[in-house]
Amino acid sequence: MTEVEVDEVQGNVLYAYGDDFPHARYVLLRVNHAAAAKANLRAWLDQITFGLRPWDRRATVGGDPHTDRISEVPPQARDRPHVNVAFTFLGLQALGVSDDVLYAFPDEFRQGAYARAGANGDVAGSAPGNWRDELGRGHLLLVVYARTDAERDRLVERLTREAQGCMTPLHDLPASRLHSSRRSEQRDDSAWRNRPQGCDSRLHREHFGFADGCSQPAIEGVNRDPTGNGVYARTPPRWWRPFRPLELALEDMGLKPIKRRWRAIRAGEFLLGYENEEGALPVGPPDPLGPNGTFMVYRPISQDVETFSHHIESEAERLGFEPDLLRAKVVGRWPDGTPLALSPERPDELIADNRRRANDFLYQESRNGFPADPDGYGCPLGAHIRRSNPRDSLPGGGERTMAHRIIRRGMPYGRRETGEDCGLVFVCFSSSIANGFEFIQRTWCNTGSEIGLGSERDPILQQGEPGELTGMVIPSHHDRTVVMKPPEKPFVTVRGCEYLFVPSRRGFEWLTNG
Amino acid sequence: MDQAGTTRALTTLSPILPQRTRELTNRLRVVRYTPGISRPLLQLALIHYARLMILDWLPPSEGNGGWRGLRWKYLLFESNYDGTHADYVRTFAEVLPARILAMWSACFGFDTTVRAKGIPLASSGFQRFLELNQLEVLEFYAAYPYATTLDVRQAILLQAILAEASREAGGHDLARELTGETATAALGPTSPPLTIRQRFSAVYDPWRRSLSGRYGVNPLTIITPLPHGLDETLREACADRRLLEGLSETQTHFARLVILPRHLTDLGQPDADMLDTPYLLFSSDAWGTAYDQIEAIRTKLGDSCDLIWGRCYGYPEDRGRNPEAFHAWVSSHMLPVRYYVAGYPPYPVNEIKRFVQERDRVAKTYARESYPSLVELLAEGGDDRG
Repeated sequence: MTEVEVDEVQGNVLYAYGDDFPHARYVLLRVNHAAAAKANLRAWLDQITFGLRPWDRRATVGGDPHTDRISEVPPQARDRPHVNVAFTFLGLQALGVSDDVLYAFPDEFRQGAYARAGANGDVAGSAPGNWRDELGRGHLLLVVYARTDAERDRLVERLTREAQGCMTPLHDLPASRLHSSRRSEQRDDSAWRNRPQGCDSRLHREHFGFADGCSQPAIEGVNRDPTGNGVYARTPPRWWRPFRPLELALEDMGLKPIKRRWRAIRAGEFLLGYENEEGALPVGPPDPLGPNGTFMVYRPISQDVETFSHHIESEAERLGFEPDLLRAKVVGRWPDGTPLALSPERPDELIADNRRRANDFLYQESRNGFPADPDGYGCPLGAHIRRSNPRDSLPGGGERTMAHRIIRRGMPYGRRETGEDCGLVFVCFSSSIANGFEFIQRTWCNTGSEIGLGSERDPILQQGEPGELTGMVIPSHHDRTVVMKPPEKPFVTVRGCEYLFVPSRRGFEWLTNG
Repeated sequence: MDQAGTTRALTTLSPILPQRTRELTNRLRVVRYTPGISRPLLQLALIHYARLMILDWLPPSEGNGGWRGLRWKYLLFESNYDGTHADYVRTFAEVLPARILAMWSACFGFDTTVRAKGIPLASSGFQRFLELNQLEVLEFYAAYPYATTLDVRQAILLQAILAEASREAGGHDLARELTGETATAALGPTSPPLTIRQRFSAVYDPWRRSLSGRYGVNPLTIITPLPHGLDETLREACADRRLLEGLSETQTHFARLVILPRHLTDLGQPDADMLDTPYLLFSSDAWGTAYDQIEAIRTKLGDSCDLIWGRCYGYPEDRGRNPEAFHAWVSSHMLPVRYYVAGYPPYPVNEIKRFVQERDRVAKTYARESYPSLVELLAEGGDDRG
């Protein structure tokens, strides 16, 4: 088992800050004076959160009821707002990092999100020319999470005031979790706070009304239970390795059944300095900057709730579906997070309230008595969650997905009621942006070739001019495959994107001292 | 230019370890006759056509000698695939590790590049290995550049379903609704799990077609020396115009021109081969026999044919009037293909194009109408179907 130096990794990467910190603010800054900026960043070091675990937080309400661990973090450190800082390639250059270190970073990070936008499908209204606030050209991202919006704003104002002169804010986006309408979710007592976290946690909704961030990868050395969130793969014993080629050949020819089980994904898929699924160290800068660091994609996405709702309702009427069912078919889960693969007819609170159950499913194989769904009669092949994590449904099985998982830490922004722009701040972490975010976006979401759907694209994420968007094939009722028409305009629009490097504590010290 | 529409061409040349040459040759002999057994290869809707050859001799560059033997034997791999190079190689490595190990582990540089600690195959290592082995593609021709393997598979399947529906309707009951099978065929997945019958057909059908005179799609590979300076001339010509464009009037599905440099792939083998001159590799996948393909090249490539091969030793100057001499010259420069695999059943180019158009039309019909009638689905081109 790999030992992960959790205390070195910035907070919110391996463990989410979660419901206790429902307010965030993302400030993109440009460095004006390298030396002054370094001194300023050095002063921020004590405020940056590293390695916060769930039980560190829960100690504030009587310790973690599910483990016997006692928090070693002092209460003032647990309760205060959390600060995180990440750097773009331009930012590292602006801080004067030497060329030999800069060129150790992978190509996609050096090129940046702006240059890679076309390959990621950011076209039409989402093209970089339409990005706001100079997103794609920033230097560093300051993120603050707090228990209240007032607390958050006070801290952001103080930090930006301190940075005045040496750094200029380019973009400032406040975000807050949305409250669910479910009555049971509005309780606010300590018992509720300490319940096992389900998908439909009371605050985890995005503007289309769905529970967000249900499935997160189980990481070796970090998460104990890989069921549902790990990778469903072969795990032969070490002594079997010399015979592995023979086994693979027999499996290829269909002469040997493939035995797989859930296991955690190697830490190197998410953190630099650890072995990834290929047994190699991910590409990144050398010690001390690289190890325990990770790459982050910051991508505010504007959601057009009116277009989404109107299209779903009109198509549901045309196709003879219940609107809620069609909505679920598009996403692959019911709004409360119940996966269609487990409950294709209706949402199930018992499943949604238990994160383990809500993720313990496969498409190609039956599991726990739930039938397999290889043809997409329950969860369509083109549904959003099936594209972004195909589990065992691709040729090659679960192993096909193990190098393409990402940790997501999204947060909704804006208020629909006030008529302002609203959407989701998509944030993800992985040790390779090319193998993680870009691969998922390009190979699974922006084309249907690998999943057998030709040119069909992800119904939620697709971009394009009117007339260029694709519909969605929905196999249903076992004898009636229907096609949801393409919408007149995309459901979401990318407001901008940044590729960032999130350094470890040692990396941050080196960066600001060097 | 290794890209035509959404389709790309990959050609690699890998020196084979001498102690593994016999094993690899024997393995290719076995798999040559069992192409349908590899379940993941057929499930992978990414490759149109792929072939493996062993290069150990080269035709003479001057008139003073016969074929020259190479110091090392080389595994020559060619494929036409959809999508980007990186995604293709990664998918290939993640889905077909056993096949890759069986073929390329017998080559120099594989163990040091690809094998990682504790796992048999690292996809990023395999990508690096292929980059080291990759040859320059001068030009790539595709008859249907924007149709993916999956599009073609769906189009062929849809054609069969519509033909059967049309026959059943007998011209009387065309108003009835088709089942979801039609939409799935046109737009949905083309049933990844293979039945025993399908696997049997994949082996048996090529033999059956050749016995009945329907040859299907066959590979052709021609290797010729490039006299001094011709490689640069060809590069400039390919930058200006498409030399293989004339093949659009033939039944050629895909074709490519590839340069074999003087200094052949060096992956650490002692005394790597150094040729007198670069060589040009022409490969095609075309409907019909090798004779049909050579005839198509002779009659349709026109001036390009003379530009590509005109300065080669023995090239017949009266190509137009003397077909026998041209055929004999090409036949003397052909490389045998050891393993050949296709991503979909063989059809002539014009039929594939028609099937794909039909599929697009049906897809549009479904986007307009949820439950279209058979009349709508058979609206155009129904008379010549079946």
